[in-house]
Amino acid sequence: MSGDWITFDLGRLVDSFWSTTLDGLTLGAIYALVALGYTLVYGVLNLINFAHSEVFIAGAFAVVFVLSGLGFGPSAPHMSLGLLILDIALAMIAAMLVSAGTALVVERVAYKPLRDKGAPRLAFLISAIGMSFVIQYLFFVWRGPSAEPNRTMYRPKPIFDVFGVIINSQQLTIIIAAVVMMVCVDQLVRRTKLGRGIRAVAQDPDTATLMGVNKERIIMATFMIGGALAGAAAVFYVMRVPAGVFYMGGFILGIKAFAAAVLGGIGNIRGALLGGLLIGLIGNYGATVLGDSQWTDVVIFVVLVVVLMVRPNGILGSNLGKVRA
Amino acid sequence: MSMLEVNNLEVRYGRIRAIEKLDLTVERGEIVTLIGANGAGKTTTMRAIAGLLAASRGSIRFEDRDITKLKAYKRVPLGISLVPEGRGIFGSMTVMENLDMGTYSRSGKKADSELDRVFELFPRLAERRTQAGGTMSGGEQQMLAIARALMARPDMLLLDEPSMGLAPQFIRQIFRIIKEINAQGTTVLLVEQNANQALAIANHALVLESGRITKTGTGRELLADPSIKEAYLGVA
Ligand SMILES: Nc1ncnc2c1ncn2[C@@H]1O[C@H](COP(=O)(O)OP(=O)(O)OP(=O)(O)O)[C@@H](O)[C@H]1O
Ligand SMILES: [Mg+2]
Repeated sequence: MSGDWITFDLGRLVDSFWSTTLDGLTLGAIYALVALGYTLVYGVLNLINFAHSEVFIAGAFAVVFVLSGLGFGPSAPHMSLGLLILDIALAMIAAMLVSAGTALVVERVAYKPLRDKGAPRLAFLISAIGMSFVIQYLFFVWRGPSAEPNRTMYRPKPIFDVFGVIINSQQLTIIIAAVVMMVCVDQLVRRTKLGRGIRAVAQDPDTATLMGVNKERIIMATFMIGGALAGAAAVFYVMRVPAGVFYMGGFILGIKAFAAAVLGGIGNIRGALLGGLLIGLIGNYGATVLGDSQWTDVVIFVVLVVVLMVRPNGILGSNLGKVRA
Repeated sequence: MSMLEVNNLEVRYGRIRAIEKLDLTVERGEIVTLIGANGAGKTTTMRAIAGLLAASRGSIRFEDRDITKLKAYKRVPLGISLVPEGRGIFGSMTVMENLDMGTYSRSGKKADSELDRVFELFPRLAERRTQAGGTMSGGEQQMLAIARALMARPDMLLLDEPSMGLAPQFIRQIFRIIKEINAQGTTVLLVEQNANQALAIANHALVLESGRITKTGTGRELLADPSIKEAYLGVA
């Protein structure tokens, strides 16, 4: 092994601080969208849905298939902006449907039967991990071990140049779209009738039932909302990490999204946003300083552990039930 | 036809039979009181009527409809509301939000008149609209729990130990309010350990022992019954 398997060079980060930051926020926005799925389900069922990473990758496969069908290839297509937006919207709708559907199947197959039997928590955990493997290997058997070929939607163009900081169209699209979606979910949970039902079930399922809340419907809706967000994240993922769509791709991203949910405070919607952005930044800064993206996960988890030692419930703590309208 | 007819009800927790061969009828407009020692099966009975627990035998009819197999959340719009033991206040929701939850099953309809009614019954809640439910005192939480149940406009109100943990003057107030709610037309099924006052306001009463009904009568009859005096009224 050569002597420079790890280098420590703050200068590299200083030189590329803004581009590292913007890219970190972009990745973080994707983590945050996926983190919401972990957080919503945890809030309602006190359950880590380990198969959520596969819910996400199913959406990413859907994006690739739809884009292929629409004629997208490895290089950016020549088409009008309107048509491009339409095509991306189609891919997003397909991904949201596929991911929401996958999430619903996971809930009905892996969790509902256990819930009906009043199974202990460990059973849910095993079932979750099993479901995750099943979906991973279904993709493995179907698509093989290698990644799907790149589907490039557009070439990122620099659009802002503020004091030498260049933000490109891809970063802007992803960050804005992700933040808008999260604000929508946050408002949905705070202001709508469905949101009231979600919060009530999260706090006290029996009392929620006594109010006339159909708990099973709320649970299904929660899985589907989390799934749809993962599907939306999948579109941005294919933009930012085009070579990342393969059977293990969900696991690799999911572990960071899960870390994001825990960092922000699992069960906490705003925590998922905060945690996602922080994980994106921390991972990117760490990789830049240490000189290799292999270090990203190590840095992320070291920071996560340190934060949890100080704040065991994550930065924003609390849970979904405690959300105030 | 009685409003509520429970026949030969049996409820189990796994292999443990918590109640068996339980018969109970409530006529429209009545206050019926169920008394019994700790662990007698009072809460189990109430939860079974509300649908949170499944009957392993027997039937439950409400307004001439068999609801034995009906899902709990579907019993609320039929007119059955349970104020659970321990109150079940949503701690981080405000008083108003808790009351709003009470209208969940009838949303779309205006709830202004219900709100006026519960604020009239419980003026303190009107002052505390924006307070988090979890920060209310025990007595205030009990009022909120009853008010929230009334927001659903129930025909039958099930109350599981509403006086639990309350100071004597609070208890008197709760019983006065229960009578008033009943006078306004809501049928009441009441579970109590505070047998004295619960029997005093009851039209009919039943005694539950180890999962079986062992005595029935009017409230007055049971109040006067020597064995009940000894067991439940603290009179030797
Ligand atoms: N979830 C449960 N699992 C197993 N047994 C239970 C469960 N809940 C209640 N029981 C048992 O069923 C019996 C009846 O309980 P229940 O709560 O109905 O009594 P109760 O009359 O309401 O008592 P209390 O006055 O203390 O509230 C008790 O023996 C209790 O231990
Ligand atoms: Mg009880």
